[in-house]
Amino acid sequence: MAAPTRRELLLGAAAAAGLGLPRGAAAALPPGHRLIVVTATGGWDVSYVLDPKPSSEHVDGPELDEDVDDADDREALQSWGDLTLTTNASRRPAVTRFFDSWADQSTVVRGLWVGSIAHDACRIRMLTGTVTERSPDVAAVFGDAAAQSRDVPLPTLDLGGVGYAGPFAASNGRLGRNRQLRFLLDRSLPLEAPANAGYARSPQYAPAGDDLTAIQRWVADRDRAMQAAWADRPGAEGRMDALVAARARAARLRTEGTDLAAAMASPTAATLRGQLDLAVDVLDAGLSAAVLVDSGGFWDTHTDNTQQHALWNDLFRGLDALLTRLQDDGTLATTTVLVTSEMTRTPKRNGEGGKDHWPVTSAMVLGGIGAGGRVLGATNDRLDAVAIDLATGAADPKGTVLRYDHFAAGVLEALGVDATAWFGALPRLAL
Amino acid sequence: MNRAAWLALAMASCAVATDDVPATDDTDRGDDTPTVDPVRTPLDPTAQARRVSMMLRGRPPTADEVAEVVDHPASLQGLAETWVQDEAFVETVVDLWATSLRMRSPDLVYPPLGPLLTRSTQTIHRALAEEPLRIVAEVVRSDQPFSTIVTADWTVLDATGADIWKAHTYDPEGDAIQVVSWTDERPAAGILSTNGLWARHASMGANHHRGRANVVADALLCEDFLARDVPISGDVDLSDDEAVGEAVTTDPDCVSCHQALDPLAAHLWDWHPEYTPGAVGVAFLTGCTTPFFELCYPFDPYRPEYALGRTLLFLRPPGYYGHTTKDVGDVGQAIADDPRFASCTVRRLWSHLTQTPLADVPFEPTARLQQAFVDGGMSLRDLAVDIATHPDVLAATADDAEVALRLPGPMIVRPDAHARTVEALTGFRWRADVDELVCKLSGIGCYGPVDLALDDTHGFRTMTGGVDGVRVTRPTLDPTPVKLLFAAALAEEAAGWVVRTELVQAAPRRVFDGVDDLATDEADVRAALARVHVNVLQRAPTDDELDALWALWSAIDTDGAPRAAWRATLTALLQAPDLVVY
Repeated sequence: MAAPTRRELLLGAAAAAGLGLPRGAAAALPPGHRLIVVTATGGWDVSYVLDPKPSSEHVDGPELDEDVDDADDREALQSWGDLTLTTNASRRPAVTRFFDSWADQSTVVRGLWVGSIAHDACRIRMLTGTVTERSPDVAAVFGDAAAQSRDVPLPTLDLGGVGYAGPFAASNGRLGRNRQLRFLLDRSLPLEAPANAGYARSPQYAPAGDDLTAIQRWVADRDRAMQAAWADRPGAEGRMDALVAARARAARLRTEGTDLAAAMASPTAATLRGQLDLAVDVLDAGLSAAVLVDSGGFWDTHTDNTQQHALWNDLFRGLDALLTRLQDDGTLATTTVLVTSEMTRTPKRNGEGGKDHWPVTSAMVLGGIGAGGRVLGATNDRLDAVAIDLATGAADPKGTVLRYDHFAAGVLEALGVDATAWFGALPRLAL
Repeated sequence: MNRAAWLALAMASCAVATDDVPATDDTDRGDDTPTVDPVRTPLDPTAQARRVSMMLRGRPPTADEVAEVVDHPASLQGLAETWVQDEAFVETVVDLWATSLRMRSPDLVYPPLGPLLTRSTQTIHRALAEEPLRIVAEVVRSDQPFSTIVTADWTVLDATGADIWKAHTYDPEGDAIQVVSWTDERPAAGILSTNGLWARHASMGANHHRGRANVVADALLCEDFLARDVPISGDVDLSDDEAVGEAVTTDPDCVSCHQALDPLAAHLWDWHPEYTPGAVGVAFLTGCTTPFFELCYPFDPYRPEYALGRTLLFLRPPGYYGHTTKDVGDVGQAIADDPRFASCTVRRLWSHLTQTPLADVPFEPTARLQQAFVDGGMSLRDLAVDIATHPDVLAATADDAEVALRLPGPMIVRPDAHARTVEALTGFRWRADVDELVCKLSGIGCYGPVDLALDDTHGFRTMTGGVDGVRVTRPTLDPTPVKLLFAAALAEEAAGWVVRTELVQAAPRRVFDGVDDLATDEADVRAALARVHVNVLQRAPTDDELDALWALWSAIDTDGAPRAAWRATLTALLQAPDLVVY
């Protein structure tokens, strides 16, 4: 009797447990849809914009920062339909400008419990909906699902270096801290060598045209031969499939990514605006279906919480430019922008004028799948999550506290990805 | 549970599971016929040699070593015992501990001021990040009991580390990297009493060193408190020390973790909480005068009087999981004696070498290995050999479903091993100079030469599956498009370099050893291709493989110069899956 392969064993175990394969089916995926995930790494203070608490004695909001001598420096509650947010025309004008233009494209999610107060642990939970970085983030799941129905050489591109590929590594790539991916996409770009390297610069050899094709074909043939030879080995199927798929994607990127390499060369590509522009370039070029972006800035304001004003202002300035470009390009309806931070700040300020970590945050869903102009979820005057009806997002004492996994599962389902493989029958937040 | 009870449980579990593991027949040792395993089908000897060498050294076996294992399968054990004496094995272990301790964060850099003015970013980073890792390296290199990493009364500093820190015996006239002692009477606790570990894991604000304590528990005992959800309600004001202090001692949801975490954290108050670059810069700008003198090099981070702050806040007293411990030296010894340390070490090494997620490391083989590890004096070398030559690791398949589930799957070359492999085969290492003119003119503000396979800021380590310990904390072991783009670029660079040095400049040959590179006749070229195949992949090509190589060589536009065909062919061979998967 032939030995069972690892895949057969795992399938048997999964079937016994009533689980599917860990892959998001793309049954209802909107054609051509794209996803941009923006993370404000470090932990934003939601009281500055998304979750106003102006009258709560338990929350030190941005009104503490007002300059009494500056009449324009006043915190205000401003409403756009059902969206009521904190604004300040002097310190955070970009927030007002953004919602003046895009409130109807914006869904704000409040009262999102993240299950920890440590950065890494919270980031894992918010991006993957699970407690382990072995799980893929929502961009990786969406990218992989999208790649099942359309031809994208690098389904998910991580520009900010904040993502988790999980089992979808073969469809995932990183830009690098200094945008060094460009040196791999365009091998004609020069790299100086150190004095004692024994060569002056790279590239020392960069095959192109038919020579490159011949080399790539030989390597691909060897991959397939090894894939066949190793077919019966436990665990081989997944890794060898990944090798073959990743090699094919690498070959395509080498031939199709040269223009993007030029875009990556700009130093502004590392800024939020630069990353967002690059994200749209990548999506428009059909190279990826999902992109992760880090907002930049030091959001972890344990000392001097007033830094949050500029951080929020810069974030919304970038988001405004992004949505404007998507609108102008006619792709806003097919591009969902998910904006998150791994946690928020404590309701009260500490002895150093800063705020520490708090496990109840907010998020935004812009464009694409979001109906817009609404708030889902809620917090009380202590910035604690209150129970909600996950189907409506409204506060409901008989409901449940909105958790990171409800949220991630809800985002994937709204994007048309069957999240059952990751979250089983867990209730989802209806977006 | 005490140690005896834990071991009894482990051995009982082993006893239940031993039926599926064939007993070793000593009469087979030294015989060239492998022990017959009724459950597992072993990998062929070539694949076994390749796997064990890649696991232990991160580079393939030589053709001679492969031939030895093919001729005498039992010789693999002896070869493995030799391979763990190689410095490459030390690097393999250090890579594991760099990941576990999350040491290699690119953000771990102090300002180049004062005595560090002309030191490069990388030099300063290495002085900080590598200090605890060099202790691990020294313990493995000299095959001391692995528990020495938490009991050693010495550390390892380089010249920059010696300038950053006070109170040590570093000799400026001695070797660049030295084993030194601290002269500030800090307790002997190996990596736990290094400054580098606590520089990496700074303690901010009201955290009270709990993050540091979790690093200790996670890395050394495999107890990650952060993996648990934290149920916190608005009743606890986390910005209020007093309220938090009350909650962690009275709220049952908090107490479950904090009763273990906080006493451990209490020991770590003895180290300065955090040297922020901004504060250090201000200190130098103000001439290092009071109140900033502490923020100028050399730093004096070990100050037991810092613990007064803990006392004033009425935090939990020091301790180790219910035991009284007076200082971090006691903690180190308690960890060394804790069965969880041995268990965690075995599981981490199995996980790293076999590329099995830590949570999926099988209990049965590791419980038995743990016993041997402890009984054998905690030699990490012996443990690594036992893991790499374990029947599960050397098996291709298994008929028994339970055994089959725990067999490691194909392993993928890690970034450091990839670079080492290409260097071993060709002598080439891909490096870059990313520094600007101001550095070149003044020697100030330099980043330093970059090893592109091992650097996260300008190089490709995290992009190709590696870990930087801050944004990327787990390796990506599946092949990714970017990893293979890098593999292609590295192969091209190495091929270009080899053809130039070996064929044009007539340097001593290794890739083209025994090869007539000027031949153009098909039979001669085929013979040369077969030889290069052996030199790069350590085995002769099959007929089909040789046909494919010949087809590739012939397809390259050489314009009458066969070297162009050799460069392209070598580029392809260096990307062969044989060098990626093992």
